[in-house]
Amino acid sequence: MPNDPPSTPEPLAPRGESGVAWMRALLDRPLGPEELAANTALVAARPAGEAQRTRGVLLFRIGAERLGLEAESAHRVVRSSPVRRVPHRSNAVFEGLANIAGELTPVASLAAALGLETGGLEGGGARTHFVVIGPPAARWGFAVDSVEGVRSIDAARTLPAPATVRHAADGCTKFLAAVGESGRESTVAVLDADRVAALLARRLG
Amino acid sequence: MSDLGGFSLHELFRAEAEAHASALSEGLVRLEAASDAAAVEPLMRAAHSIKGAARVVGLDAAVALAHAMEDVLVAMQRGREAVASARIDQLLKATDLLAGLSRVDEAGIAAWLGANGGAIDAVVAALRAPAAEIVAPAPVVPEPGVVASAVDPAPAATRAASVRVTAEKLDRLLQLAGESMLESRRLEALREGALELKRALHEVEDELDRVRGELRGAGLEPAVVARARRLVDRGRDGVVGHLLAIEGAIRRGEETSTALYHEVLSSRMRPFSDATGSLARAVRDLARQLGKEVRLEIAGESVPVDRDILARLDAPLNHLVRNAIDHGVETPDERRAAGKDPQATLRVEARHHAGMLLVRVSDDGRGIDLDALRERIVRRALASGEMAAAMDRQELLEFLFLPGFSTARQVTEVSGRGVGLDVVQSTAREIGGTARIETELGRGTAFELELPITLSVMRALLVDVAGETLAFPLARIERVVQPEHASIESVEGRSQFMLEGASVGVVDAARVLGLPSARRPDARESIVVLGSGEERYGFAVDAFAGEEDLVVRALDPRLGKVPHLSAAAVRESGEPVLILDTEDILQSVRQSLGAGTLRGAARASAASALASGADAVLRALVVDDSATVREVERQILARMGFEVETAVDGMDGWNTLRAGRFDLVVSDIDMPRMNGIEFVRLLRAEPRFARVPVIVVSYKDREEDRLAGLEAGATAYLTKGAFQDSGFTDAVRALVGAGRAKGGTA
Repeated sequence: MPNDPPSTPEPLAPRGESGVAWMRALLDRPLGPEELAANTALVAARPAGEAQRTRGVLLFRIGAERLGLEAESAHRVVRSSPVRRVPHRSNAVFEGLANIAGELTPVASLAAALGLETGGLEGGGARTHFVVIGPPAARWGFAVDSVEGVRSIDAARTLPAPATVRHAADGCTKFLAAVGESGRESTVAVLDADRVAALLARRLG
Repeated sequence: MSDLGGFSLHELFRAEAEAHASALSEGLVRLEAASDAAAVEPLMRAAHSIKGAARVVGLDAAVALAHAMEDVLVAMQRGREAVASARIDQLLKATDLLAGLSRVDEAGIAAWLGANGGAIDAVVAALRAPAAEIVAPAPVVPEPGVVASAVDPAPAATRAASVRVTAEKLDRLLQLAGESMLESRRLEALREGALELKRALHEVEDELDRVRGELRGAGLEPAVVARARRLVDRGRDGVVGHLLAIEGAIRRGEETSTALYHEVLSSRMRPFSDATGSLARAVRDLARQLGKEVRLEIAGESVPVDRDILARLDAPLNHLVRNAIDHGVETPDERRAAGKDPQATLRVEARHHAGMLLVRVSDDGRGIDLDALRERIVRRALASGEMAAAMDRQELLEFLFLPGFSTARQVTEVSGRGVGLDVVQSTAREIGGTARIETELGRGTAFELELPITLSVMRALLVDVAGETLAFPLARIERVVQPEHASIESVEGRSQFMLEGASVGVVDAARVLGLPSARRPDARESIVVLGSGEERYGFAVDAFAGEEDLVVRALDPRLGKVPHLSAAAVRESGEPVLILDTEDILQSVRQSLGAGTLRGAARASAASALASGADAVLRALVVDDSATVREVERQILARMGFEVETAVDGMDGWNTLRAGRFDLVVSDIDMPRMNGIEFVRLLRAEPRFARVPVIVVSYKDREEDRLAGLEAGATAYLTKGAFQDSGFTDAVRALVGAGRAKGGTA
């Protein structure tokens, strides 16, 4: 590639012209009063959480590990870009600063923070994307080696996080989800963005 | 509710009233000086605008005030009333009330009106009183046509057209403008794609031509091939057309986004006159009040200054001007007696010099009597007579920046300076500048602030160090050199090279910055020379990577103060880059060359072996920006058996502290770069220093200063008067004795 890869946010819905048209049609359609009421009820019911039938989970890989993050807690997913080490501050967990959509954002190694097996890829993985989490004043980006996209997970097929914490990843796990075709499914740890951010913040400075 | 850009209606009123009030204030003073009827017009408009805005938010008192002002101004403009000083006084009073009102938030309105209602009524009544009762000179009668066509000399009109934007919004705009510049460059990828398509179609054409040739050889000429060839041709033309369109779009996109970027950037700059607008008024009022004659000269009004800096400049500038008139300028009689022009000259000047903004406030008044100042310092027990005698001019003048130093009446009579001057110095330091005093007895005094021109753009030299790109502020670099490899020699394990006949020590950038690097330090031949005179050091980097204008951004506050760094930026290429703090680097280099930490492992391990010994010598760190105080403290502590290291400010102290082992820290509060409070707080936040006794020794003797020191984590707070008696040594004995008992190292 002769040019820098664009680091625009990856849309999580259909791409290209048809996707845009589809989105526009969807967003521009007028809402009837019943629909409005139904949507209001749906939004109002959301905090109940447990009653939800499905959850959107962003799936990605770091080294050999397949992990998830609740879709709404991922601020954005962008193509990766160079990370600057910060003198006297960068360490195994806090890698440095990257320009993510115009903002200088601290980037951390989730593998190092969670003690993941990277299969000898330590820092040398594909690092295709940054996943950005956290509120505006406390953003964090972390590099992932591939992004699978957002999957709907049946709430009935989730398990609580393991009670005993074997490694840091367990401490940051919100729940375990079964993903994939039935019969060939595997269990993925879905991370708690708040706890991940808190863990990373402790390794800063 | 409509979108007011995050401001409430009342806030908008306040913004408008504030802008118009300052325009009125300036304009009225100018009107009084030049009695020009054409100058009344913009003032009328300003009063009218305030009236309208006040009506919208239902502030009847402000409506009445503005209305009364407007009526008087209309009378002046029509020539029915003369421009008289007494009338101007009333109008200024009314303006002040409106300005005061603009500083009150919605919740405080009722209280403010309660407190100022009487004053408002009085001013309204005075303005409503017929002009005849005040003055009777011949009115200035303008020709009606002249007024209408007169070029508005006041900045009031331009000011009225401005809007308020929050600083965060402007920052975000700048980031987005930068991003859009990068985005339009990324369109290049589209162009590449179209070129690729063009090449592919070209191949198809060639292929079709070959097919046609082969078929023709076989005696066939199918129409379908000719048609395909035509279609491909058309496709290729289409692609070429698109290619041109894309190139045009890229060019226009880049031009527009670049223009947008620079426009947003320049919206941060304002002329220096924005900060001097209120000065004429302040000078007039104060001089009148004190019975002095002062002429204000302002130079460099059009010098562009970052709005953030301008905003911070307001208070110190006002203060310096008031201070000069109150204390620096003599009465007309005194001046006459001294053979001077009875009218004093107060000059406020701004100019750019060596990449910095110099703001100078100078008077031709009585000057500062250094002997009297020295006496005063001793009398207030801030230093011993011996110490004060050893202090040089600058050190003595530094005392004037001490809070409350010369508020006492007798000092104002003797030397005459210092009321609240600490604000001037602390503001200058906060924005990365310095404040300096020059004075000559009987001739005058000048205060000079050296400040960065902008906090937002910096010309920088980019360098590569250990795979990272770092930026040196260009203004802080002495020079760059690429000496012949052989000319870098090693003396006593220290690298150095000859520059203009002087030897300059070279340190490895990667090592100072703690960036692991595979390269050998002596393989680096690109050297950035920092510092000046005797204090020059070479900073060896991997390569120079060009110059660039960087838009400076604060480092993420979560990182805290990072040693050797001052800020961050995003390069034009979109890459992040960190900006180095050259002062901090120089301190570290000086320190490490002195302490030998960069010289090799042998010495360091010997030092740590010594330090871990049970009979280790007690070590103290003295942090103070005054060379005299440092020396006094060093001597006292050395006499008590301490091994003493010194540092010149909080930042230096922090770096020194972390590089060694200390049993006691003695620190000043008022220091450049990092003050004592920040230093102590930083130190206490680190577990390994949590129990080190810290004695703060400051000139500041107010209770709130003492509490601030102790709250930050100081173990004891002494004033510098403690050197006079045994206060300091007692404190040291008490604290270090206790510290050792607890630590169990004795």
